[in-house]
Amino acid sequence: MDPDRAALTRTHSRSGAILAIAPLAVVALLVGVPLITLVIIGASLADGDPGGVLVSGSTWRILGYTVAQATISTVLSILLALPAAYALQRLRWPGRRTWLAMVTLPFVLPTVVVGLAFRELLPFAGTTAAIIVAHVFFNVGLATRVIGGIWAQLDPRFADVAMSLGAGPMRTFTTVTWPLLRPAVLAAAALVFLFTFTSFGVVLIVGDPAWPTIEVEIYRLAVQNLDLSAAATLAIVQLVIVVIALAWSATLQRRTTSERIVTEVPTRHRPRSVVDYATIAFTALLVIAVSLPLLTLVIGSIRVGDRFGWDFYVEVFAPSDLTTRATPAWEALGTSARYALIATAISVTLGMLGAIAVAALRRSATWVDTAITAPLGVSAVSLGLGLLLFSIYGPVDLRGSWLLVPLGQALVAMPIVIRVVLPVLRSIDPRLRDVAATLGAGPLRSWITVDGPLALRAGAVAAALAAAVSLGEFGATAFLVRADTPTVPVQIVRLLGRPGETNLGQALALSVILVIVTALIITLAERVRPARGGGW
Amino acid sequence: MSLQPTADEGLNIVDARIDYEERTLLDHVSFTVTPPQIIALLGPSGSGKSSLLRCIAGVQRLDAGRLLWDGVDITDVPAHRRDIGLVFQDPLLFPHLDVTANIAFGLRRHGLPRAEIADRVDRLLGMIGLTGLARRRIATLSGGEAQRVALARALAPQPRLLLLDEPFAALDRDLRERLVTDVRALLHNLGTPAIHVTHDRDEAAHIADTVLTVMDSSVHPVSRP
Repeated sequence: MDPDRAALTRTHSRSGAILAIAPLAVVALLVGVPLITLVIIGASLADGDPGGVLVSGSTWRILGYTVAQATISTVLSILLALPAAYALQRLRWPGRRTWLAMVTLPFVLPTVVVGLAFRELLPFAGTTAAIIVAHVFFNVGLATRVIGGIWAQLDPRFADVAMSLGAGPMRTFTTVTWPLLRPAVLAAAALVFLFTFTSFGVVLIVGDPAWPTIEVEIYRLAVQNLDLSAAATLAIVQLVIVVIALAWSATLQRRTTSERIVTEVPTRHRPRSVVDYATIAFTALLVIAVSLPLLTLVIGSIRVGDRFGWDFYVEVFAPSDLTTRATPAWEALGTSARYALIATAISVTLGMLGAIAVAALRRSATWVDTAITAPLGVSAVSLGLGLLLFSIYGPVDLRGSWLLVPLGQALVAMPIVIRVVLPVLRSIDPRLRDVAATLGAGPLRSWITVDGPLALRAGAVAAALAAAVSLGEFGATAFLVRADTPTVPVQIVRLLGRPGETNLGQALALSVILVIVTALIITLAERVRPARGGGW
Repeated sequence: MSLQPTADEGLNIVDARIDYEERTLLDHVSFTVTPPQIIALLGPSGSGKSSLLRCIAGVQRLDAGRLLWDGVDITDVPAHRRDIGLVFQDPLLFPHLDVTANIAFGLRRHGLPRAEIADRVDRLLGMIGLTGLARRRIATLSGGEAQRVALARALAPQPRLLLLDEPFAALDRDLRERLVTDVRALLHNLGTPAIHVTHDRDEAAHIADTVLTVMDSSVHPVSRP
């Protein structure tokens, strides 16, 4: 930022600082309490053998395995995302926007659904390879989006200059484009690593039961072995690694990010070389590959034996069977909707307040940024376990309260809300508010007129995303859900645990319904998304 | 001077056409640049001057017409084999390299020994009056300094033609006048021909031997003031 602009923004920081404290404190408390509970309980519970987990050889094997699968998944996701990001953000071709949306779609799908789709699709389900394929499927869109977001703004004249100085396409890429792009690639890699390192639903469904990741092991220890202290210790180990990874990526990004590379010059050109056409062809293949699992899901849900039919959907909506006392599948839909609504309300209210507060705190933004996005890296499983422990050992007895589920989902969704809203608020030129002030508007009125409309739109996008996340949430929900009121993802996993074609069919049908609802919500979000900023 | 390609020497633009999104920006553009001639291209923004430079540099394709150098067709020669330097309004110095590495960027291809490269960079820094800034980071340069470095970077590989796309437009008046004088002297000393795009008549008259103007979608000669 140039000094003049910095001076301008500084004038807003004092009032902002005061305004910021209250919502930030609430956000910190909500995310912090479960984690602190986790640490305290993990360290102090006398039953079980918390230290034993640390010295156990299997813990280190699980840790190594988790890191290894995450690393491979990350590298592959980035390698596939690079050509796609180029084709989708640097080239002009018919249908570009549609393909961009399609390549991103998997990222917003519920993990359980993705897991199930790959279990149906891959002949090698139940292996490490299956985990990696599913992880790449999940994250290649995210990586494309993050890398492409920066690439779209990278001044094409840097490459023009390099070419005019005699550098061929290869040298131009390696000595100019790549160094300028590296921060974005590292940012994408850090995100993908965090998501694959803390991945739960996918691993639980398509992984090899003999090779659990940390998340799956935490779940197994807590829910199956009821060894809460061992689970908590493992969650702390995982938390430490997540924090180290986050800090590392923040340092790397700060060292290399430069505002000077961003441009207003048009950056997209018509494809003109063999490489250009090759990347477009590659992207098309990628999108087709990415839509295969969804296709499998849909076909599986309507294939009954050797014919096609709606039988499984009918089964989902069948009245409860009194003899088996099993919860009818459709009840899960109502439960999910109710919980998602509450979770969205909580996460949007707190997330918006937090984002407004941080946006006001312009000057000391670096550490606040890190702090506010950190929860995105905290695994849902850790949050769920933390909340569970808090409900048992906390000052208020919340054991078995239905409120725990939406609260857990809200904690998972809140960082996403902040990530969507904050860049939009930050993109507003502070001088607009100054102009409003010189025209006689007080601070509140100038905020409402200048920031208000954009904040509202960003808030609507955030709400839709929060709803989608809450509907598909599994990691935290798995710990907090009550046996008699499962959410849709929990119900899907339960159905998978039961034998028989009908149960599998119902799981597939429920998955398709969940995907349709999620897709509708996301489409709605894309419609109201502001043109600039808000890259999630 | 004639608009028809007469001499074989230097750059010949023959009946060039440039489109932008279904619209024809420039058509029937023909003129020559004979070394060490400096040509100024005057015209309002959006008239296609910059696009013409981009086509001459080879980073964009002509929609019709041909480019010749010394009588040889270079229309399909890629930018990195044209030996034509390019300086934009923004310095566009590579932010991840220092001043020396920026200037030396175009020297790598010539397979010069290290000492020779260092020597040339020193001489260029001297020419642009920035001796002592060799190891400076790009972010610490002022606007004028950065544009001088950009100029040195473009001149380092000794291009056969230098293209200047409003290189001083972002600078304030005093600095601009000084740089115009310096650049003219520099190009004359090196004998490097150039096409200088600007929308400032005084600047055009000051720097160039010949002034052409972009009007009614084509390029026309202007009598010297």
